[in-house]
Amino acid sequence: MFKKKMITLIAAAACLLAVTAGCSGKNEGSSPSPSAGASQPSKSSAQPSNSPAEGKADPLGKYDPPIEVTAVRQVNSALKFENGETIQDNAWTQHYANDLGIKLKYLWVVDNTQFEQKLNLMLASGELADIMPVPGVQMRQMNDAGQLEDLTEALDKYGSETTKAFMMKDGGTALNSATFKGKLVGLPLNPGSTDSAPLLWVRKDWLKKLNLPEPQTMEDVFKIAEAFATQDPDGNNKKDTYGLAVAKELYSDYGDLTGIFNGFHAYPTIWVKDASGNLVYGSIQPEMKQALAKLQELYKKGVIDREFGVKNHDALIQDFNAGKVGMYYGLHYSPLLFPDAKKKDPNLDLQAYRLPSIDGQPAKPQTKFNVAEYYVVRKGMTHPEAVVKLMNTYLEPRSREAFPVEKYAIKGDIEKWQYALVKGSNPTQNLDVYAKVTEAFKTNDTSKLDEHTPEPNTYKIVKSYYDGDVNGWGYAMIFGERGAQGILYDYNKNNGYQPTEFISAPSSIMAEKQATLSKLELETFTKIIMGESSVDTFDDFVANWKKLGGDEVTKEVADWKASK
Amino acid sequence: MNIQLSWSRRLFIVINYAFLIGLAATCLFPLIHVLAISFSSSTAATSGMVKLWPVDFTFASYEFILHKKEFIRSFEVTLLRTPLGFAVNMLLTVLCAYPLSKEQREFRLRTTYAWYFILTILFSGGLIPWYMTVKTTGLLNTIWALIIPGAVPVFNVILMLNFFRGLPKDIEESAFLDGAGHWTVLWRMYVPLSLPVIATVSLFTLVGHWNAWFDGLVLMNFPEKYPLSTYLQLMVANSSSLNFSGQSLFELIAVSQRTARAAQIFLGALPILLVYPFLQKYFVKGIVLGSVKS
Amino acid sequence: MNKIFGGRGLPLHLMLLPGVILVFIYAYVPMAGIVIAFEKFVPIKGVFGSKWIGLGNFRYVADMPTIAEVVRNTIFIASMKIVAGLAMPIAAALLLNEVRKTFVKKGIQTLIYLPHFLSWIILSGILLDILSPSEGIVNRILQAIGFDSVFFLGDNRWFPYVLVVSDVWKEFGFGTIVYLAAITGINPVLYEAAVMDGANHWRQVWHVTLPGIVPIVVLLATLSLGNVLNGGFEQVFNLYSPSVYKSGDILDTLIYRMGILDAQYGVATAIGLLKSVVSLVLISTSYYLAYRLANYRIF
Repeated sequence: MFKKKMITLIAAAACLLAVTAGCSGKNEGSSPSPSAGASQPSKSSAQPSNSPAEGKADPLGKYDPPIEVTAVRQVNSALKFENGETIQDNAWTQHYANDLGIKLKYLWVVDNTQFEQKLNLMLASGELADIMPVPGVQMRQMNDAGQLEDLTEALDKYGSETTKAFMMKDGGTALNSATFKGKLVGLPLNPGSTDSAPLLWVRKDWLKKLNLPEPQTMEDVFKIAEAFATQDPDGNNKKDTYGLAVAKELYSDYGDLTGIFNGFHAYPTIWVKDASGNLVYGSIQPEMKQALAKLQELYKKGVIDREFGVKNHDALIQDFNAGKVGMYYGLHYSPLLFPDAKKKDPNLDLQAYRLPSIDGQPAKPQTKFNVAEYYVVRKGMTHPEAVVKLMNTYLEPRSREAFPVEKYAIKGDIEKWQYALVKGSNPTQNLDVYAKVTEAFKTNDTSKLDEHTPEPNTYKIVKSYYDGDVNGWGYAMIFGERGAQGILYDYNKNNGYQPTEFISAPSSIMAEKQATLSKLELETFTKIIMGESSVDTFDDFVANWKKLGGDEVTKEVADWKASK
Repeated sequence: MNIQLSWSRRLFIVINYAFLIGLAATCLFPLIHVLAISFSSSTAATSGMVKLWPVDFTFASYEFILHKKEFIRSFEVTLLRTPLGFAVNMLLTVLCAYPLSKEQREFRLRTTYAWYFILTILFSGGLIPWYMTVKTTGLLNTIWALIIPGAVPVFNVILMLNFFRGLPKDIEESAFLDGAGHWTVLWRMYVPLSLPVIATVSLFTLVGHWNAWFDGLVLMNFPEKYPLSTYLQLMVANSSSLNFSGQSLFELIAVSQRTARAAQIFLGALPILLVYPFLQKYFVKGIVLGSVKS
Repeated sequence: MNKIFGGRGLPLHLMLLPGVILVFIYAYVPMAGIVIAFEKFVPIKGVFGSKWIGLGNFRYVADMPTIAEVVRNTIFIASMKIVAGLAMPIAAALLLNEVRKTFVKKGIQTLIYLPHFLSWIILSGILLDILSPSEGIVNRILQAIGFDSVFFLGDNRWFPYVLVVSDVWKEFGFGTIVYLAAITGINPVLYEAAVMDGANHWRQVWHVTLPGIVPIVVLLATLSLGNVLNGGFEQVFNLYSPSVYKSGDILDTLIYRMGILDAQYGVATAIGLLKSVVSLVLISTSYYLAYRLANYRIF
């Protein structure tokens, strides 16, 4: 899991460039976007304000005398520093001190793999820092214990326009998840959820070769899969291709089954409303059974690799590179997992499709709730608004210039932007980038690309691919003319997603039972698909799921809904 | 004995030598292999040309490591903790082993005390209470956090007390008759007579401190205070996850790390390799008498 | 005979005092944390503020689908290690005893004992390197002689054996030294008598050497009883990955993951407590057996 997460993270990072970056044009230099004004104070005009509490508060007002703020953080042990900088004393801490009058003092710093452990030790020992980046579970626990400061007023009064605009870009969902009884207790770092929607990917060169239509319906999908498995699409006279690539993890960024389930209007792993409006767990709904029966049939026919039960995501990547995979469900960035494939086989023509549906109803790709981290403030801290100011300053254009998020260690850069304690993000960044880049290609005018976002860079890479550089292939698959983001953009515009209805960090019982229940689910489904268990085992699974804690979890989710 | 060795006997001797030397070699080769990689260029290491001798000999990895602040700093922490921890551990080991080596008729509570120590090997309250105790006693984030909580190494105490039990009792008794106290007997007679076990326990203690990583991870607040093993654990664990992925995009990173990692592994093991030959000649006595008194 | 706290007994108590105090503070005080096993522990509420749920955590453990697998793995790996860890040193000691050249004998002893002193962090670094399926030297050799490359650390069929072999490899030198000393301690008269009876070399080994070390083998076997639930945390932790949990996850790694990564402190403490109690029973048994069978006191 960890390994996979790691790859996913890197891949996602390489692709998104800047989940954590503030963007969407709003600096004075280039054209401001209409959504957020260009009215933030910049450094040249930063006026120290002695009484920030009076009247309209200054989002970047400097504390005078300076205040000391304690914090904790995780840091990747591979993060590099130069010129004697350390995580405790660097360009960002100096920026905080000089511009905001905030002297940041870390109580502890730990490798990211050890963060939760260290955090829990701190919580148990009772000595909290002023500002803490914490996962949702801990935020809820701390809030239940009455340890968190209310940030509602701080955000309202001190939030810069960019900060507030970004917080609302997802319709306020993330903020809502950090709000308990009307009190906002954490600033979410929300990378957005649209990118978590599964898509169908097919090798178009194989379709052409076998004279198959593009997939419109599930029936097309089954037909294509069978043809790919049996009609030697790679033309080597060997039966070495799969109809549909499935990783043993079942739910994955590549070799995924979520997309096919969605085609049956089943939504595994997320919470959806049932007919009477109650929240129910998607994996135990009857639609799942229907889909599993079909998958079992496909497996029997040899359309799904016989060895899929032992083939993990990584092994499956090798299979794609080796030209054995012609169709799979996966996330928007999945082409980035195969940087070599296109080089090896210039004829490779991968294409993303909307999810086909089993009936007349359009299929809705499911999205999950993606906020992994919240910035919370210890109850009783004198300046709770400091955390808002830290986010403001991260998102102002000047910080983007000084600490460009396009700097990546993978390219040998020093990632100064990583030093910031509080980061901000645009939840719809990739959609925005797609829209702007597409516009630029259409009008042949790059002047509207915001240089403080990944837009120009994305444009450059996609263009390089069109100009013949094969290295840009992955990006073109995502942001290019027929790219995945285009489909996501459409879904977003037309409200085509099925988001999870449980918009919150995992509840406590859920966190406790999750591992057990997921394992049960994974094992049952794998066995059903491989024909080791009959499809009717699904009913036993539902009963077991409920018994092993599922009922408690469902009740907890209902309680959560009632509290909203 | 036999002057004329039968042919089967000769054959056996040859095979036996070959086998044992081979066995010994398996204990040494992995180290040499890693050493060879650490001195090879990264291209040679990746292409698998390196076996037991460096290919494209270079110091590059070592230069890289020795310029790494984190490595040097954690090395310093370990160089501080090892002698300090050694002194404290050895003192307490000797002090605890002596009374516990007495027979029950001499020291009625010895078995009670012995179980008092043994139970701590079996039962623990887990990480959080332990952490809070260390925090409450004010050791957190200081070098003492790596020394005091583990000040009594129970396993070593057992080893030493067994050795003590094997010492001849008559000199001790005559010393008591001459009016000597336990203190004198311990330092003047037991300790000088127990060099083998002291050497053995010394090595265990030194190695224990050198190799300990978990305490550093949990009890230190900043990476620059981590001892070497903690640093290495994070390095090895992190890069191994990259190695496993086997993806070309990331192999790039893993590869340049491979020779560097080999160099760090070797440097981490080096001090042990240096001390080992000097202390190892005492093992036979130290271990045999300590663990199995026959 | 003095009174407990008088005369010659007092210095003995005083010598133990620092150790007793330190152990009390850093081992017995935290042991109070065992109550976590009976609580729904939430870090922010603390050890004494969390909700008491009686045997809830134990029931949860019983319901865990993986628990049987983990116990099985633990016992399987530990038993294999115990058996191989007894047999290998005996064999090595017997063979080494046949070596007459002292410097060869000493040299081999020195080398086989070396891995014992390298930490599992170092050794896992080495193993990850030499066993890597793509670039490791072991797989390159396998491929050179016509086998498929094996993902030793990622394949459930291989992983437990990698654990056992690498553990025996690391530790067999220790046992070898003990047995070798026992063999050396056998009275030469016995060999001479055997020669008189016309016993050849093999018969001497069979009738003199082996019986000579049986007591110590029995003793060490008895003592290893206490290790049946110890699969070797440091080793497994530094070598395993999620793909081999199925065959390689042991109690100690499960406790670690639940208690630290999943923050399920109550459940982790409960499993730990169960393991401790069983280990205590096993160790007491072995203490008793060793005392009765070999008249030997472990401590």
